[in-house]
Amino acid sequence: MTEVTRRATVAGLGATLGAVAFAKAMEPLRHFTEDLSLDQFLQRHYRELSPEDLERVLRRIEEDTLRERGAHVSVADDRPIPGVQFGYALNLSVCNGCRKCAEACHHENNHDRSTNQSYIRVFEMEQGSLDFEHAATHYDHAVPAPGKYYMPVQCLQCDDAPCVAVCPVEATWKEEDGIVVIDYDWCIGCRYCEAACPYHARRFNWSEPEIEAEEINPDQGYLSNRVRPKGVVEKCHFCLHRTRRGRLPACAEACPTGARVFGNLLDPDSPIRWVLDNKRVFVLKEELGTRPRFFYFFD
Amino acid sequence: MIVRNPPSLGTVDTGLRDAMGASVGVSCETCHDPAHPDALARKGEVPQDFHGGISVAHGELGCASCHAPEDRTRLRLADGTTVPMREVLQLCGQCHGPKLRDFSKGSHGGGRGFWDRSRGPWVRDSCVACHAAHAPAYPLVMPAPPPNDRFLPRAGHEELAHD
Repeated sequence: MTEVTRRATVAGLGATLGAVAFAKAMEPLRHFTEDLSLDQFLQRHYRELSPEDLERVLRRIEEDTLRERGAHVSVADDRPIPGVQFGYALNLSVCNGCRKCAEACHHENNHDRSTNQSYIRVFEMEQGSLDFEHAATHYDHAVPAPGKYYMPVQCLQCDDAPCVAVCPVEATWKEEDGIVVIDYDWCIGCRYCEAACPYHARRFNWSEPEIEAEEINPDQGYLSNRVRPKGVVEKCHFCLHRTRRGRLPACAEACPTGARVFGNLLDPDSPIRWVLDNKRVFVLKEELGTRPRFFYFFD
Repeated sequence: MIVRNPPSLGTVDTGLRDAMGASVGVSCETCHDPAHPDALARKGEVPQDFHGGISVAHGELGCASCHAPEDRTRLRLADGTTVPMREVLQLCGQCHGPKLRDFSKGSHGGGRGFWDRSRGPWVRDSCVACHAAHAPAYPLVMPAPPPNDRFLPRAGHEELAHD
């Protein structure tokens, strides 16, 4: 009869525990549903995807959108244009607070309809003050109101972005053209970035965005305006699915007062460069050293 | 860069309504004979029994400041030369030089299309697309609806105090 040694018992116990732990760890694999395919579970970080894998991911998102939302969309992967550094400027002297930019963003970027969310928050400010704590974002009266001015704030695409630094899984990063992007499929929803942003530019998807199929903007980008899943963070991406094809962002086109100037900072003949050279521009919370790409000016 | 200038002066809104309720417009030559120019009102005094659709609130300007008396379909520059009605940038820029400069450099007035001119046009509006020529101050507007943040009151209700 074999002697049951203490060593064998411990080894057996360890093996059993190990097997149980392994089974537990693999348990999600038993629960794959329509919502989370094996492909999606095993998908790599955007920057580690091979061209073939990326292509497969884009097509999968299109199929998912069709199956889950009944909308035919095309999801592209627009890469930065060599020699282009994006910059944005906003003329506070002419902005009248009409929120057309926020509305355009809402539709362009497939935001949840019930919350009327947008990447742009328009602050109604006291003239002579830059105090955001006493600014209103929910005003609903004829604008511009006496004694007020209006400051739309969106992601400033900081060159030294605190949100990027705090991400524990590197799901957000700064691209070569200056746009800070998020891999929504890599984001774990910890919201550290939301807390780190001094401009409150990031939003969290508390629930599955609700949009009617016919209202979904079918012109989508992987890193930009595809419908984001529940539980991930999102933010303004300078409409990269438009701007990396040479077009203006939706907010710039929607502005009825012409307050928004967008362009390539490296092009000396661009309007954005003329503004930076000739207007007295400033950035929000300059003292934090975030070095925003988004400038404000009065003229 | 493409600037969408007004094609020409269409008709002057008389402020009257036809039987169907549509506003009645007439062309300038209906009343003003180009061969026999008459004097134009000097200081924004619009004949109230006609030109009723026009209200003038443009500084000290009168009709003849911009409209050529001898040809109501053309604009008159300060030096007396006349230009087609579409040349509003040239006309307005005589007084609003800094604005014309900002417009030409791309920092005033909106536009649609492409920031990268090698890929497509940048379509821009002329002065009168946003500013009514006779009363150019930008009007008050109602804003698009505010966001419905989870922790804030709904649109149209009291602002949450931040104390």
